[in-house]
Amino acid sequence: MTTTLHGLLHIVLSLIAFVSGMLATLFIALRFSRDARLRSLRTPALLIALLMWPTFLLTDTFGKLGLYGVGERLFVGLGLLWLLIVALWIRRRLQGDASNRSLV
Amino acid sequence: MFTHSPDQAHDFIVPGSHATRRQQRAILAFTVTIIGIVAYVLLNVIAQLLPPHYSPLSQAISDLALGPYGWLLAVIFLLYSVLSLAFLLGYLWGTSKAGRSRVGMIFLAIWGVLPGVLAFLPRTMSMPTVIQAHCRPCR
Repeated sequence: MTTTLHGLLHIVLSLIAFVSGMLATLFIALRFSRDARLRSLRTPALLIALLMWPTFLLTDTFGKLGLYGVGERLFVGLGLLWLLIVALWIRRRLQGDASNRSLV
Repeated sequence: MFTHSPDQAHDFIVPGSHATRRQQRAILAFTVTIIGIVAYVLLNVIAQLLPPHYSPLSQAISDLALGPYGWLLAVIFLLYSVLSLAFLLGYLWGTSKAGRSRVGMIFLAIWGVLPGVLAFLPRTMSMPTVIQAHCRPCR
């Protein structure tokens, strides 16, 4: 496939974004163990963060099987799932705090 | 009970205090993230059903930029940026300093900003490749 310089820049920035996503989820998940209130979130967050790595590395293999789109969507889907679970979890905790305050 | 610092937002809360406002902002930011994820998935499904030549099984998401619905992909990328940056703010406001990774936040910011940049930098190919991608009999 012939790609223009513009297209090449798109691919390079996408790769930086993907790798940043994998590192962000990993670093943040590992940090949850230091906060007693977020400790129970560590395992599911870390599991998804770790799953993103083989999914990313296998994208090329998916491509060779004619399933590049599936591989890429699996990776993006895991990233979104991580964001969703962490957002829902922390949000529920914060709402719990707010409702406890209103009872006082 | 007193709020000692915004970072101890979880532990000592006074209604109407800085920490409470921080928590409210965090709840709002996470709500934006959650709604954004649902909208992102819906828009992706729609975008992948529209172009008849496009195969979500074999083609990259960015390949959608090559067809007539490239603008929809730009919207999707911008949405991704909004939802991940909203998550970053929620994480910043809704967690204690101990539970917050500074390195993680830097990578999260890069992960959040770049899709927005990519919205204005769509994937392009040289003309023969575009013809090949869009014209099945030409393959």
